[in-house]
Formats: sequence, structure tokens, C-alpha cells
Amino acid sequence: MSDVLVSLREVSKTYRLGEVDVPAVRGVNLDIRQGDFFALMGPSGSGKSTLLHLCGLLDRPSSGKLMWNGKDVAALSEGGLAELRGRRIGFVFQTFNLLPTLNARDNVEFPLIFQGVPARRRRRRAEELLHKLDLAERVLHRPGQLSGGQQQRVALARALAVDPQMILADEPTGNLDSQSGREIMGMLRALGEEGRSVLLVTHDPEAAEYAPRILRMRDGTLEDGA
Amino acid sequence: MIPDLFLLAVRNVLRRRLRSWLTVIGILIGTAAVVALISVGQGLERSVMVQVRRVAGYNTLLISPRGGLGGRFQVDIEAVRQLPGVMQIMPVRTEMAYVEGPVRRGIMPLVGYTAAMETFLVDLDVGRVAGRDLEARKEAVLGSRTARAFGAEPGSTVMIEDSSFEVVGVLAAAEGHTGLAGMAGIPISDGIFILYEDLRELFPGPNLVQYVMIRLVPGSDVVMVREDVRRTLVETGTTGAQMTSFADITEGISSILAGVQAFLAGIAGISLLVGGVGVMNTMYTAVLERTREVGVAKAVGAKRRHIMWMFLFESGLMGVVGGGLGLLAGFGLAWGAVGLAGRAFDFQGVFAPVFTVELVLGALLFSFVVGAASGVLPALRASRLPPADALRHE
Repeated sequence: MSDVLVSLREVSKTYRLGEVDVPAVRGVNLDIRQGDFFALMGPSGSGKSTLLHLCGLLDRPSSGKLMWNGKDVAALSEGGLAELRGRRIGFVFQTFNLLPTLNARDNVEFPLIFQGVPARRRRRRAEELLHKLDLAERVLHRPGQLSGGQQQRVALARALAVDPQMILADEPTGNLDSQSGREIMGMLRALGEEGRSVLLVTHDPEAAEYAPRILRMRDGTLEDGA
Repeated sequence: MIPDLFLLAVRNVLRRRLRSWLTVIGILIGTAAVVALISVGQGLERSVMVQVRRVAGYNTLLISPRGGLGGRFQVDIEAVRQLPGVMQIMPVRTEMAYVEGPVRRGIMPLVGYTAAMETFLVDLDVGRVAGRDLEARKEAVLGSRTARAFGAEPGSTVMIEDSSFEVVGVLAAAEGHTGLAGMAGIPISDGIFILYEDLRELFPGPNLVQYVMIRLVPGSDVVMVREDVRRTLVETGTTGAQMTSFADITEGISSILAGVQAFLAGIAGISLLVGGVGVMNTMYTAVLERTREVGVAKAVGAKRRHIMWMFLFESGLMGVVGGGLGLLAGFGLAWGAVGLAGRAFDFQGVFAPVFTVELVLGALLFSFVVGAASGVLPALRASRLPPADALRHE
């Protein structure tokens, strides 16, 4: 299928912990198409975060084939991976991972710097996104001055800054109260409906409910084949 | 894009929290220590150099009576003057003379003055408070104390051994200033200087001098000239004199000075090392703690060179800020230390710390380079990690 964004074939990832090899992901096959919204569930240590990192090009597989937009990732340089991440992928993390010294707007602008977007357009784009995510009053606040829910919305705005094809969210509600969690999940669902692919890692069943399709992982493998 | 990263670094530095300002303080202390030690060291070196140059900056031979001061000997000035390597020869002959001034009379030491003596006085930093130098026969220049005692000033007339002399100048030397004439037992401030020819006329008879100073042509071989002079003295019948070379003294002082310089270079080296290691340590830890930020930057599309620029600017800036403040602290430290030590050991005003342009620029460059290098290295290391690992870093 031509609209497959990410395709994994027999992908494995093994970490070396001292003397021992720890397999985190084992022989996973998965296709993520444009507009797919998957929730990836599973107990801690089941390899779901590792799988998300692989799909987001934050790490390379130890074996197997990982294709992004039809290109074999193994053939791409570090710089090539950075370019794909910068243009096509937006990340949302459990701990927000905002830069503490930058205000909300500068955090949202941050990814655009690496795309060479001129300052004025960066600023306009950041303010537009923050307005959209109901943070118009918080543009100049730094992460420390924001609540968890607000920080996660800033992080979401940052993920959207480059208008990515895919959003990867790793336990985005893990550090939020249920109200903020519902807000974030609603926003992710809306993004999916816009036609972006969303991969959500969570062990919160309520959060997973927002996804049209739930994948389960156990011991590094996907339980129901994709 | 790179200017954007620079602005980002500026904003980042400005908004850093206490923890990072401690890094700047670490750089500040390192730089201040280096600047203070080097400037005090250079001040010491400069003051020693000035003293040495004043006392024995030239190749000089001294012929003095054997058996101590007060003796006299005969010397053929012309024969010595014609030797190669001799630039100037200054015979010093003093006689006790009966002197009548405007308000007082007495027995005073009279010094035969030559053109060579004038240069010597200049070298000794002996200026005149009034009048001019000796130019013609029957003129006299007085030491400051003599002038005051006799109530004489330029224009006055003094009688020396029944001859009338016009006072044309008064020397500025502090009372008790020894040096030149002091070597023959007379402080400069107590002397009366008249031309050598006048002295010989007043005191005819054998031309016996107290001592002779010979200045050598710069770069001439002291040992050879000294041997020539010795031979000439023997051939022209000088007896009862001995010769000392200032080169011997200068050599001793030079070797002390070389030791001092090596010592200072050692201290500067150690303080550079200590300062540098301190800067590297604080910067390294500070950046290592931000491994996760490196991971975030890479996740949103930063390439390795972007990471490098970000941290180069940021740690370089912190280095320069710390270095600039350290420079100021170093100035203060150096002046404070010299002032305290001066009071404690009673040598106030003898020397001051020296801040050269090289030191100022060097300190800034040093703090920038050490700061930037020690910030960029851990950042580059972090940027080489897969972003997934960097993000997991606590």
C-alpha cells in the first residue's frame, strides 16, 4: 500500500546491559498508515516504549527492516534520521521534556529553528498553535510556571509545530490528573481525525479508549498481529 | 539558523538558574586566580628589573683603592680611555676644602666633575631642583643639604679655597643619597661639584683619585676589557688599586631574576591548570546533566552540528562572562594582596601588579576556550547517543 507511513518487518531491538543481552522488542511486524490511530498497551517492560522509539527513529533496530515512507531506515545517515524526525514526526512525552529556560512560545518554536524557519514565521506559527490549544494567556510563561496539563499542551503544540505526519505519544497522560488527561486525549483524537497518524503508548485503559484500535504487547512481541 | 542558535544560547544563559551561575563562579575563581598571580608576578618582575637597571644596568668596571675607602691611587686616565671597549671613564677625586657661603663657612667635600659624571647622575635618577648643569670653569653645583646649610642658590657666589665660584645648580638628591659619590664616602647631598680641571688647579700636585668608574661599550667582552685595563694600569704604574666588575653583580642578580621568572611561570602554569580543571569540571557536569535536553533537541530534528553550536555558544558565553568577572576579581585580588603584603612587610609602593593587554585578552580567550571546549565535549558525547538513550538519561 502506498499510504503506509511506517512499516516494520521482523524488527527486533536488543539492549546490552553489562554482560547480558536484553531483548526489548522481538520480531515485530507492523504497518502504520496515514490516519491510523493506535494505542499500544502492555505491562511495564513489555517493550512498548522501545517500539515507539523505533517508529520515531529515536533508535535503530538491532535486526529486521524498518521502512519510513518507503525508505529503508538502515540506509539513512544520522543526519537523514534527524531530518525525518524534524519534518515528519512530533513527540509527546510523559514528562513533557520542555526546555526549562525557554517560555512556552520559545519551546514551540524550538523545532522550527532546525528547519531554518525565519524568526517571524516561527513566532506566528507558535502563537497560532498556543491559541489553538487554549494557551493564549500562557505564551510567555516558562514550564515551571505552568500546570502539568498546560505543560503537556505546550509539548503538544511543539510536536505540531512542523506539521508532522505522525504523532508519537509516550504515556502522555501518565503525569496528569484525569481531567487534563482527558483534554490531551481529546486533542490527540482530533489530530487523528485530521488525518495524522498517531501512535499512543499507555497503560491507562481510559486513555486507550480514545484510540480506534488497541495493540497489546507482551515480552517484546505484539499479541494480535497487525 | 546559526544566529538563531546563538540567540537561543544568550536567552538560555540569561535565564539559567543558580546551579549554572555556580558554573560561572567556578570559571570566575579560576580566571581570577590566574590573573591575580600573573599580574602580581609581572609587577614583581618589573620592579626588580627597574632596580637592577638602576644599580647595575650597564657594564661597569670600578677601580678602587686596595685596603678600603679613603685610600688614593694614581691613574693614567687617557691611557685607559683609549682602550677598545671603553666607552667612558669617570675618575672621582674628592678633596676636603675650605668653603665660604652666603651664611656659613666650613670644610666640605669637593668633587671633581666630568661630563661622564653627568650621565651617571642621570642614570642614578639624580635631577636638579634648581639651575643648570656645570658648563664652565669656576662654576659649582651643590648637593641639596650643602646648598641649604650654606644658604646658597643658583646665582650665589661661594668661595672655595680663596677662589670665587658661581653656584649654577642644586642637585635634587634626597639627603643621605649615597650611590656614586657615596662610594667614596660622601653622600651626594653633602657634596660640592666643580669641574675636574678646577679641582686640579685648586689642589696641584700628584693627581690621586679615590676611585675610577669605567663604562664599557655595550656588548663588549667584559673579561677581555677588564684584562686590557688591568695590563694598562700595571704598565702606567698604578699601584694600590683593585678592580671590580659590575657584571659580576649583574650576573648574580640576573640569575636570581631568572629563578624568579621560572618560579612565576610555574605558578602561572599551575594556576592555569587548576583554573582550567575547575572550569572543565563544573562545565562538564553542568552539560552532562542536560543530556536529556540533547535528546529532546535531537527528537525534534536537531543534528549533531546544531547541538555542537548550541553548547559552543552557551558554554563559551558562560566562559566569557565568568572570565570577564574573573578578570575584575583578579584586578581587585592583585591590588588587595599587594597592598596587604606591602603593609605587612613595609614595602608599600615598591611594586604594583601589572596588567598587560596580553594578560587581559589571554584571560578572556582562556576562559572562552576552556569553557567552550569543556561544554562542547560532553554535549558532543551526548549527541552521539541514540536519542532514545539520551531521553532516558536522568
